[in-house]
Amino acid sequence: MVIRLALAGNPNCGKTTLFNNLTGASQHTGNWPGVTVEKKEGKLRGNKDVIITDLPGIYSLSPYSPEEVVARDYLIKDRPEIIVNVVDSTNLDRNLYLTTQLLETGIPVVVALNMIDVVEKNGDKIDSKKLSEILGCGVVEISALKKKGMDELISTAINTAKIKQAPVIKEIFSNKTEKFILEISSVLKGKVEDCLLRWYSIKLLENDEKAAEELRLNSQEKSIISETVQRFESEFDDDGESIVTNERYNHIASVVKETSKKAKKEKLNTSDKIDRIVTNRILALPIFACVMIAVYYISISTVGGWMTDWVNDTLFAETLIPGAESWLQSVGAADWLNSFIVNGVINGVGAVLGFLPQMIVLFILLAILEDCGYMARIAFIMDRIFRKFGLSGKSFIPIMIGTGCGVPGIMASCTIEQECDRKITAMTTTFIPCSAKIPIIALIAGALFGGSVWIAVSAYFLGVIAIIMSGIILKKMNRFSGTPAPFVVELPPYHLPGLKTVAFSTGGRAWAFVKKAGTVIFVACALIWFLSSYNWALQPVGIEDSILESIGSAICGIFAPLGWGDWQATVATITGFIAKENVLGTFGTLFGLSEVSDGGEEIWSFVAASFTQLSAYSFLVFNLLCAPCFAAIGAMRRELGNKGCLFAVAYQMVFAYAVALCVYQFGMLFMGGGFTAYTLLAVIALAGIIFFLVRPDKMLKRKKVEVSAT
Amino acid sequence: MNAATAVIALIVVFCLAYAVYNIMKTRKNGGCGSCPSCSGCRVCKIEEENKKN
Repeated sequence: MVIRLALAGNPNCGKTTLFNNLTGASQHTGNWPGVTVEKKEGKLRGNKDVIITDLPGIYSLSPYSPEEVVARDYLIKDRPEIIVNVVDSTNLDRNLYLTTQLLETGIPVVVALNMIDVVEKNGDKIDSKKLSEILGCGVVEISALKKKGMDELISTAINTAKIKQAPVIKEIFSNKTEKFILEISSVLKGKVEDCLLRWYSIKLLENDEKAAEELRLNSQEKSIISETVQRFESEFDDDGESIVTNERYNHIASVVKETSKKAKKEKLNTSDKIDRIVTNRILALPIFACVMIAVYYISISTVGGWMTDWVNDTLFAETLIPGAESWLQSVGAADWLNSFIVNGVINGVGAVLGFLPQMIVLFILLAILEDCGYMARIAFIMDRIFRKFGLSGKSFIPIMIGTGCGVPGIMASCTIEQECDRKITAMTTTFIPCSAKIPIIALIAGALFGGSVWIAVSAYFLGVIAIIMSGIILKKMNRFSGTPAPFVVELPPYHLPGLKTVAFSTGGRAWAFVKKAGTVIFVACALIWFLSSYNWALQPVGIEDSILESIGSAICGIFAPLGWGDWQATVATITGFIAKENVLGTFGTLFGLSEVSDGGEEIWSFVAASFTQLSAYSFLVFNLLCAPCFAAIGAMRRELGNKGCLFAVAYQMVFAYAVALCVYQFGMLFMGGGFTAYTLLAVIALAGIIFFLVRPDKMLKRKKVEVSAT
Repeated sequence: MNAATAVIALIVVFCLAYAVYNIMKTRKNGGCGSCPSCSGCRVCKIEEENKKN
C-alpha cells in the first residue's frame, strides 16, 4: 500500500529539515520563512511505499497567498493518506491555528511537536498526551535538527494512515456557531464527500469565495447559504471570517493553558537581547553594512584572496599550464591542439576556477549568516527602507536568495501577493551580485585595486541602491503602480550554525560552480578559442585577424563612452550573457592567446594593462547591472511573460548603460579629463535618471482623488 | 596528423560532446544545470522530481 504523507506547518517550523531527515534528500533549508516555495516530494528512507510531500510553510488554509493555495489545493484535492502537522513547540499559540484547520479536512493527522529540545532547554513543559486527547489526534515530540523522535513519528504516522483514523473533531466553536455550521452542512449534504462536509461548511461561513466556486452551487443553494451567513454575521455583529478566527484563537488559548507551562515569564531571552541591538532603529543598518564589509573582506581580500592567489599564481601559472604545454610538446601533439588545450581550455576554464577558493569562503560565510538567523533580520531591517520607496521587505527575500543565483531568486518572487511588487522584484533581483558575478568583482578588485575590499562592498550596495532606484522609477509607471504588500516576518531564534547545514550549503554551491565550469564555460571557451584563432575563411590566423576580433570591433564602439571600447572587453561582456563566469573565461582565452602570454602568466596583469581603474569600475558596473544570463532571462520570462521580460531586459540594459556612463564620464571630469560630447551624454543620462526618480506619481495622485471623491 | 594528436583530439571531442550533452540534458529537465552558478537551492529540481513521480 502506497502511503502519501504530507508535511504541513507554519513557515520556518522545520518541515524541510524533517523532510531531509526522512527522505535522505538534500533540499535547501534556510533559517528564514519562505524557503520552500512549491511542494516537493521524496520517498521515505527504507520504505519506498511512503511518499513524503514537503508543503510550503503556511499560517492558515485561507487562499490568500500562493503558498496557501498550493498547500490547500494539495490537501483538499489530492487528499494524502496522512498529514504530519509540524508544529514549532516554542510557539504553540500561533502554530495550533493551522492545526485546527487541518483537523477539519477529514484527513488523518499526526502532530509533530518540533523543537521540543528548545522547550526543555527553556525550562518550559508541554503535556503532549493531554494535547493529543484535546486535539483528537496523535502527538509526537521531535527535534528535526537533532533527529530525535523520528522513528516514533514515522511509525505513528504510518499506523494512523493504515487504519485511516481521521481526527476526532472536538468542539472548537461556540454552540451558536456550531448551529450555523450544521445548517450549511445540511445544504451541502450529498454535494461533497462526508469527510469534507465540515470543512466546506466552515469555509462558506467564512465567506471563502474559492471554496464556493469549487462547490458549483445552484442559485437556490447559494441564496440559502447567503441568508444563513447573513444571520450568522448579524448575530455576532462581525464578518464571518473574523468570528470564526476569533473562536479558533479562543479555543487555542484554552488548549495552550491546559497543556503547557512556561518556566519564565516576561524575561528577555538571548535572541531578544541580540535583536535589541541588531534590529535597533539606528544601529541596524550600520551593523548590516559592517557585517557585509566583514564578509567581503574575509572572502575577497584576505583568506579567500590568499587562496585564490595561490591557485592562480602557483597551481595554474607555475604548474598546470607549463606542465600541460611541455607534455603536449613532448608527445608530439600538433600546435593547434596545444594552443586549444592550453590557451583555450586551461586558461579559459582556469580563469573561472581560480576564483573557487574565494567563492567557497563567501559561501561559508553566507551559509553561517543564513543558518544563525541573521538573514531573516536583514529582510526585516530592509522593509523599513524599502517601504519608504514603495517596495516591501518581502522583496528582499528573493534578493537574498539571488546572492546565490538569480534564477531561484526570480522564482522566489512568486510568493509576493501584490502583482506590482512581484514584477518589480523579478525585474530587479539580478541587480544584486550573484555568485557568477563574484569572480568578475574579484578580478577587477585584484587586478586593478590591489584586492581592496571596497570594490566588492560597493558592488553589493550598488545592487541594493539600483533595486531601490528601480523601485521608485518603476512604481510610477502604470503597469507597476500599487501599494506595497504588508510584510510580516517571523524572526527565528538565533542558534549556532550547524556544521552539516553550512557544509552542505557550501558544498552544493561550490559543486554547482565547478559543474558549470566543466560544461557551459568549457564549451564557451572552446568556441571563443575557435573564433579567435580562425578567420572567416577558416584559416588559422593571429588573434588580431580572427572572426571574434571582427565581430567585437564592429560593436565595441557602443561601449566607447563607458571607457572600455576595446573589442576584448566587448566580447567578454557579450559572452557573459551565456553565463556571467564567461566574462573571465573569455579574458582567460583571449589573453592566453595573445603573444605576451608565452610564459603562461595569469590574466590579472593583462586585465590591468587593458583598463584604467575608472574604466574597469565602469566595466564592472555595467556587467553587474545589465541583463542577466540567458537562464535568468528565461526565469524572468516565466514570471513576467514575453512582453514583460522584453521590457525588463531593455530596462536593465538602458539602466546599466546610463549608470556606467555616468560613473566613467563624471569620473573622467573630476580627474581633469575635460568636457567632451560623451560627458554631455552622461549629463543627459543623469538628468533622465533624476527626472524618473523625482517626477510626480500620477497614479498615486489619481488614487487620492478617487478616495477623496468617494 | 600524428597518433598523439589524433588520440588527444578524440578525447577533447568526446569531452566537448559530453559537456554539450549535459547542458542539453539539464536544460531539458529544467534542472539545476540551467543556473550558470546554481546556489544549490534545488527549487528548480521540482519539475524534474514531479516528472519522475
